Amino acid sequence: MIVLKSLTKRFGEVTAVRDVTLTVTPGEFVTLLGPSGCGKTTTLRMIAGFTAPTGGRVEMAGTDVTGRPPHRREVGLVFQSYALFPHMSVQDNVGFGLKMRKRPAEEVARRVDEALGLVKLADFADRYPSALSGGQQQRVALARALVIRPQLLLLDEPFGALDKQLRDHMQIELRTLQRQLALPTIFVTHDQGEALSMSDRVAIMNAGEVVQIGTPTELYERPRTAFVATFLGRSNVLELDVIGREGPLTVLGRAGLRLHATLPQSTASTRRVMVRPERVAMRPPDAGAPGAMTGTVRAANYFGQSIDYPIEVGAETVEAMSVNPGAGGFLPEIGAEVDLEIASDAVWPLDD
Amino acid sequence: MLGSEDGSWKAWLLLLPVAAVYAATFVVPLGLIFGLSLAEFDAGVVTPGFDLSNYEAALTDGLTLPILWRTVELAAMVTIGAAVMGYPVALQMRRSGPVLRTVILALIVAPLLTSVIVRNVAWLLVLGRTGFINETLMATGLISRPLPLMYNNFGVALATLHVYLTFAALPIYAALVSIDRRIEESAASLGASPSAVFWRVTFPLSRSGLIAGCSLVFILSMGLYLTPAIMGGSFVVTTPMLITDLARNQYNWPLASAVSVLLLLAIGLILMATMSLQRRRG
Amino acid sequence: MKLPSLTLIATLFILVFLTAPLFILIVQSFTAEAHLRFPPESFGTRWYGYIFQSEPWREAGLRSLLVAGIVAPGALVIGTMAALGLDRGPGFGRNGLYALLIAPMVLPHLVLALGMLHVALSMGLEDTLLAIVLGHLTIAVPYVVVTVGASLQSVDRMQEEAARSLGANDWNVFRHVIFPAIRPGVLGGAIFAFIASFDEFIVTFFLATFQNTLPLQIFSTLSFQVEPSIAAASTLVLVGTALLTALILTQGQVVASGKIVK
Ligand SMILES: Nc1ncnc2c1ncn2[C@@H]1O[C@H](COP(=O)(O)OP(=O)(O)OP(=O)(O)O)[C@@H](O)[C@H]1O
Ligand SMILES: [Mg+2]
Repeated sequence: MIVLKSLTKRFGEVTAVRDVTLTVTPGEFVTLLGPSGCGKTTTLRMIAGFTAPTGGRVEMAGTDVTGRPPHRREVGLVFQSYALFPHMSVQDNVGFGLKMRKRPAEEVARRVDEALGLVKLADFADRYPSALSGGQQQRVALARALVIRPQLLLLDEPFGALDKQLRDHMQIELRTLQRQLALPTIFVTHDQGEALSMSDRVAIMNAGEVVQIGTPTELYERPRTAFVATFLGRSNVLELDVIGREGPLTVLGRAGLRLHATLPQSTASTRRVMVRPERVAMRPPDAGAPGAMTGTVRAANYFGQSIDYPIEVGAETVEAMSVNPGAGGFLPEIGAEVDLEIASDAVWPLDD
Repeated sequence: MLGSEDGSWKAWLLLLPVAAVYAATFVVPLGLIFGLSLAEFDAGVVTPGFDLSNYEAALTDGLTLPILWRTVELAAMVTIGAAVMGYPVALQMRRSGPVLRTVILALIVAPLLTSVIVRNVAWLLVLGRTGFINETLMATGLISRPLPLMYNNFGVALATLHVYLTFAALPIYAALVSIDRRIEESAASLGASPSAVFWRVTFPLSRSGLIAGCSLVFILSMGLYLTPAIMGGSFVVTTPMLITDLARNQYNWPLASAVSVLLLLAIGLILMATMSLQRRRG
Repeated sequence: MKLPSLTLIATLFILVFLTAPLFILIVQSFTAEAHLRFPPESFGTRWYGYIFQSEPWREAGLRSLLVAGIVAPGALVIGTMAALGLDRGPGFGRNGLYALLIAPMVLPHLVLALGMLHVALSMGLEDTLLAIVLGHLTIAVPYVVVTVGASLQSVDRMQEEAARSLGANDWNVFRHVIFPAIRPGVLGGAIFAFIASFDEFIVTFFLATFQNTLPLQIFSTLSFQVEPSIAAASTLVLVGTALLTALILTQGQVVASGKIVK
């Protein structure tokens, strides 16, 4: 179990990381996700021991390792730039950590073979890094980190330099491998799709702080703040007036926009809520559905699998997304009127 | 100790050996020279003290200052020669393909690694009374008596130039290769002729390298003992030769030290001039 | 385009200026005459035989090799440590320290020599190998600081951190990551240091009385008369340094980038 307690790092005036507390349970895959400069790399470097925290501590298996130098931490590290040793062959790269641990040659050879097998590079043992593709280099870096059987695997945007297809492929491989080895892992990325698809839990960071931690579903469905809601996926964040109640539901609205939501009782007169665009249904006008409201299609942004429609409802603009229905499906024209339908369970109240 | 990204004080422990050596052979010796320059010297006896009589003597003896001036003159001649010769070479290196560039670079750098005294001996054999030039010209009947090519400023300056040309050419080359070619191309696309591109873009942008190279050559030329001693004999006396004579033949260490300090001051002035030139250019 | 051809002509002229005297030196060294005169009337290895048999020449040559042979590895270790310490130390004061470290390169060696002799005299070390070696170290270390310092810029910090996370301590990081990356600079620095020591005149001139080195021997013979033995000895030095130079040019890219002169 790896525990970060109130980890803080200041560089002079700048607080790069503030009060980060996080637990990684055995075998768990945790992702740090956040915009550029939010402190992800700094957090990782404090865990690995390259940056001394200004405050807080790092515990591994119940021991405080905050003051321990990197070479005695048993942490596997993979960088975006791979950082392979250019003057060593693939097997020497992978065997490096074992040699540092003075393992007997025969054990080194065996475990290097094993690790290379794990990343499917058994035939490349004698090559030099310069003679490998980006994806292969990435796998060598991974094997090199895994072969020492670390207590924790840290990856800093490991797939940032790979093209889309290779990245998708490597994501699956890494996750399979990580499950197979039950290796606690902290993964840094600013690619939200990557974070959602790979992680057991995601920690969203902003300006040095962890703003919310949870499973991908929790974060996507129940973001706590507008930042999380907009950072993870697309969303409509709407500032609405509390109009009244209809049974268990609260009615919210502003100038032509009317929503029903399940909200805790409160005396607030306005509420901030989030609605995912894919939960905004569009119908041809006059469909006569109850609770429908009418808006004007302002644009249509075509993405292939889906199409986004900014729709003007009164003074607000609501983003609707429809899965490409193919020929014959309902595709409103720009400028056309449409009815919008938003189910009450699609309206999620935000804290801020 | 080597790891910390913020730079660790402990890394400076690695400077201990060099500090020990420099203390004994660089810092303390220079300090002693300053101290000695303020000592009294009377009939071969040195008395530590604090007076400026050595400086007074140096500045008024009608010998030290003219010699220092001649040293500056010589260094200036060498520097101009180095700039005039170093610039085209650097320019040519930048314009050449990789093979020619490597060949030129090798020939430019090689002298840097060739013994100074060996090169002086070589010039002796070229410029001497029975050297290559005089013998050749006599044999072809162009002259009837050997030309005075050495034991004068010309010989000293030429041999010194040979020693230090590289030090001007390399910084100029470094400045030239760091110029983004697209800047020159945009100038040309805006209608500048090749010579306008050179004088209005390339040359101004390489100026810092030129200034750095020139100041290096100037400074090094002023401190050189060997070449004036060999190529000038006793006919061209420079400040380093004067200092050597004072210390080794007259045992007047205080005066030798005072002249040394004056030489260092002159060099310091040149350095400051260079820096202000560089700063004005941004 | 008139300029390129102009610079090419100038360059050729300058290259002749740089190399021709050395060729003339080599030709002259093979004279079989008793005096130097161009062109020699007969050729032979007479003067090479002479310097190899002459006790003062042999002794001076061996002493030069000995001194440079001690100074080069010494300067290499001291200079590499210094460059590394500077690179990894706190950022502030780095430029000033660097200037201080390479100052002996540009300060008049004569002034240093004068001060060194004073120190040596007060410690009873004048005319000793120790004093000469220490003096030469100060002349040679800056070359190592410059070349190694330049190649340290190209070391990939990520690789170092990778090595560290895999369990490498300071020494192992140096041996397995830093050193392989700076090797060309280290080799270049060692050769520069060797040549700087081998070629050093004025420091030895002040510190030595009877401990002749090759440059001193050439100089003292010169002040006597320009004997062909000087040309022969000079040619030997030239060939030796040319071989070392070739080694640098094939091994190190440091020189090629013009970084040796800042
Ligand atoms: N050594 C340092 N000195 C000063 N400031 C630093 C240092 N390292 C990082 N910072 C600052 O700390 C903040 C966090 O940086 P960090 O590298 O952790 O961001 P990141 O989340 O990894 O960003 P990215 O996604 O761009 O990699 C930034 O504002 C950065 O400028
Ligand atoms: Mg980062």
